[in-house]
Amino acid sequence: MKPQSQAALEFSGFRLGFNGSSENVILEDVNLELQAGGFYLLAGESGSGKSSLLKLIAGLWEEREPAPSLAGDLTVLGQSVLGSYPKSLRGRVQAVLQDEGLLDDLSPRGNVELGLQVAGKSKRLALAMLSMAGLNDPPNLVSELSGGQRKRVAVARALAGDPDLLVFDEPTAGLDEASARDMAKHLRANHGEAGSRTTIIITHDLRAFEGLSDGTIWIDRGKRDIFLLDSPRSIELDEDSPIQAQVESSTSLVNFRRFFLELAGFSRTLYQALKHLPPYNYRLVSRTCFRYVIDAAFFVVLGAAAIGGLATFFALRNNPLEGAFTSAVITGCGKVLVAVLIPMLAGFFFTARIAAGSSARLGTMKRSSQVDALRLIGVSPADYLLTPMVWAMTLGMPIVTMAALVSASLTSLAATGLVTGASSYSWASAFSARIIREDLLFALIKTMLSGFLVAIQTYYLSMGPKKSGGDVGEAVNRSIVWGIFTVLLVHSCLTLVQFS
Amino acid sequence: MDRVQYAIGLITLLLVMISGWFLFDLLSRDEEKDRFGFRIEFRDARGMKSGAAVKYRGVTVGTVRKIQISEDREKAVVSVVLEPGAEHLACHSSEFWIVSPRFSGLSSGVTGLDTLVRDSYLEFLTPLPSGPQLSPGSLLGGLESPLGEQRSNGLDPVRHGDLEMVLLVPENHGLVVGADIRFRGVPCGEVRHIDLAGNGSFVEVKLRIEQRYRETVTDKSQFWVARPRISGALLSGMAVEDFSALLSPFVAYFSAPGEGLPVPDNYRCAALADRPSIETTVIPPEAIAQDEQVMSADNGGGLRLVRVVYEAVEEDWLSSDDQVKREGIGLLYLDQGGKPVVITCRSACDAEYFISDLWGGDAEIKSEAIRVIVAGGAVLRAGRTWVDPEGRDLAVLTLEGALGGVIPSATELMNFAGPSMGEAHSFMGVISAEPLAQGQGGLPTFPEHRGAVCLEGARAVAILGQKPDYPTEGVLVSLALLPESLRPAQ
Repeated sequence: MKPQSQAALEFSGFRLGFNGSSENVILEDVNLELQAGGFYLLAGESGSGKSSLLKLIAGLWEEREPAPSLAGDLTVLGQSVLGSYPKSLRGRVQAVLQDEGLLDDLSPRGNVELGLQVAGKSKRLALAMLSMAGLNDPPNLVSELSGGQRKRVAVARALAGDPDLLVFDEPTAGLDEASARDMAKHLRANHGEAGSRTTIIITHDLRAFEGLSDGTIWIDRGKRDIFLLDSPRSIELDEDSPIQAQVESSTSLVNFRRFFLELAGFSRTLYQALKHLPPYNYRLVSRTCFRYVIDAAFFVVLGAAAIGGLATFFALRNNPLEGAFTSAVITGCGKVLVAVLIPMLAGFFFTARIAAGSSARLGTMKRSSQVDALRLIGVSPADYLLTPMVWAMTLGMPIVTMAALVSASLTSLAATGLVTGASSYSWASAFSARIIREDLLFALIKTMLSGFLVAIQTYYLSMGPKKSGGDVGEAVNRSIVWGIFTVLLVHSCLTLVQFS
Repeated sequence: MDRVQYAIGLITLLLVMISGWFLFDLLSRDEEKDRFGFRIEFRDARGMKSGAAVKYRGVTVGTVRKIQISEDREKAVVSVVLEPGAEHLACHSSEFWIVSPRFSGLSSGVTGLDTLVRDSYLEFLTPLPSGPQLSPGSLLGGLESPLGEQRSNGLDPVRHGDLEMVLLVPENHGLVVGADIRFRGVPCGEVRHIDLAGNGSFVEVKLRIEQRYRETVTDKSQFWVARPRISGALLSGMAVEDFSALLSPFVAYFSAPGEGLPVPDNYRCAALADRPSIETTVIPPEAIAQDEQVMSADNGGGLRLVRVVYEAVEEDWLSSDDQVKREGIGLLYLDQGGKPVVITCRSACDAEYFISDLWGGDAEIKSEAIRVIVAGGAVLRAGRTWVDPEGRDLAVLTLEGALGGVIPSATELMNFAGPSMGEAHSFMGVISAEPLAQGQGGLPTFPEHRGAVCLEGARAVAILGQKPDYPTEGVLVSLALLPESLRPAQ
């Protein structure tokens, strides 16, 4: 049920600028209609707004980036995209990004399968889709793919959703002349197979597509307008140059205001987490939870063992009445270790280990366009990334804490045996003398709550705009610091509530 | 690298699970279930904490699991578990006391000094020959002071069953702490404490009456401070009463025989200003025939029947705690070591026997108290020291302290051969001396006459107990089930 005679793209009085100041207006009063079913090239000088257009068309503009100022209207497949991006376009509009955004926790085949799954098709088509894209024997890991193979996987994944509008961002970048021409022919052939699909190729390499396109969309930076040319005639393009340096510099905000904006962003993530709390993929959730526990177990258990043993050892050793009131000292150690210390320190260790790991992973995904790719396929990043993380941290934190309690108790037993030579029976009865069910209940609440908050915080910090590897590192750093601070805050408050 | 990390995490988790199981086992094995546990009552736990050691001749053989207040709030109930292998040390005749710092006067010095810097602990000693084994869950009475120094100090320690009461006197007349309390001239206790009270309007004297004379104090008793008094000076010559009070005044009291009711602890009573004129020189005529009378009078034929009153609180996890109360009849006699014991139904003195919790598991008894009421209304504390291991309805209670004036059953009237089939049986309850009416099957009605004694001729052969699994049906439980060591010396 595809509307046949509809325009694929329609600009009417369209204006694109940044920060509302007239100097930064990039396009003004554009009126253009692009017929559906064509195979178009999109070209223009650097900084002419190609990437911005791609983001608008594919719905990749992020809330946390500086917003463009827009006017007029731009419709994609008959629906305006200037407000919030229409949900019905997700999946109908696909894009193959310049850095592909292959999900590297899945195999190349898994990437295509995910696309098929979201589009509601059988996963078995994946191999056929890959071979159609020219990749017959995909390796098991995304990292084993060459540059050309990556493109092919991305194409296969984009085609899996059988889109009505397919946008390629520089599909021939990094390929030599012959391969570029092959790729161009391949794309044209693919286009020919689908009935009414519109293909737009953003490229500098007009030569590779010579004779293949139905027209070239030319963005004229000087005239701030867009024209549709029949053929690429005498267009000369610069090679890549730094893009849009002027846009970012003017966005520094007063710290105070930024703090509130961050807070609002965090609350939004919290709302998103609650909204997406029911997992859409239980296997993903349980796998993530299992991996978090496994990853953190050794680190947390070792740390807790050190603390349990050392605390008991020094408490017994520094008892002013040597050899006396031993059971009272052990009872005190038991209470403070189980009710307060170990849950909190296990939270610290878990956060340091898991929040850092997750943050690095999310930041990398963000930076290498994997998050954008998810959006394009039609999978909500919140469902795919946030929900498993929230569940895994909320459940993993208490599990790891219980393991920490066990190891701390064991080393406390060992330290008691070392210092006093008391039997394990008398240790057990003294250690557990003051521990009540409420202690364990509160430990559970504390660890679950802090796990939940740390997960949201880590997601929020990692999903911010990532322009460079430095941003990723900074996000990891902040995830650890804020995560530990959150754990400390939750534990202090709840411990205060419990004992007051 | 990833795989190594995965393996390390998995191995860690496995190790944690194994050690978690070990810890759980350690913590739960410490429960009374697997280890030999029983309870001891003290008037004062002396600051002992749960987790304190239980020592036998200075060797740690067990642990104090918990300390609770008894249901009547008069005692601290100490739950004790012994290490595996040490169960045989605690016996029927063991004496338990709490070791904490004690100053027992200049003559015997100070004991328990080690506990000044260590936790108090529980010590016990089992005299030889040791007597029958305790059964798990037994409730015993503990000593308030260490076994060795019971009578060595100036003031006897207050023991179980002693009456502590307060006498209010208008004037002290030179009474000192430690002064005697006399009944018919017999020292029955001493003055423990003297102080002004009521803004100085009177003197409060705290008294202790030994347990065996406790019955002689009733609410009709008259107290006075004895001091020399010369009466009828000129005309009838001189009579110096309470002459010994010239040297040290003492407290005296008088109770008319058969009058008044026994009093509880902390009974308060005002002293008479003067010695009342009581005719104490006359021996009641019936006393002359006393020996024979006791043998043949109430409770029939020299068998001393007592009432056993049992109260327990069962701990429920879900609902509020249940309180259960049972009454039964018991047979009082002296065992081979001369200790007063009562043979009765287990269903009258052990909640674990007749209660099971919601899921059919063992009931968790939080606290329990057993009282034995002997004829005349005196109430003695008792502990359960033996129950039939086969699960039949038979138990033996040990009474605390001495019996005092109560005469136990004549042992020749107890037949441990068991009831014989052909003989005619009659039944004895404590309520009346008359034989009980026999209902269906030749037995008295059951729950009402729990523990009634079955006689063959004049000799007791069995008691009326509960038929297993039928709480309202009685069955004869033969005295022959009683182990040799618990029977009276024949």
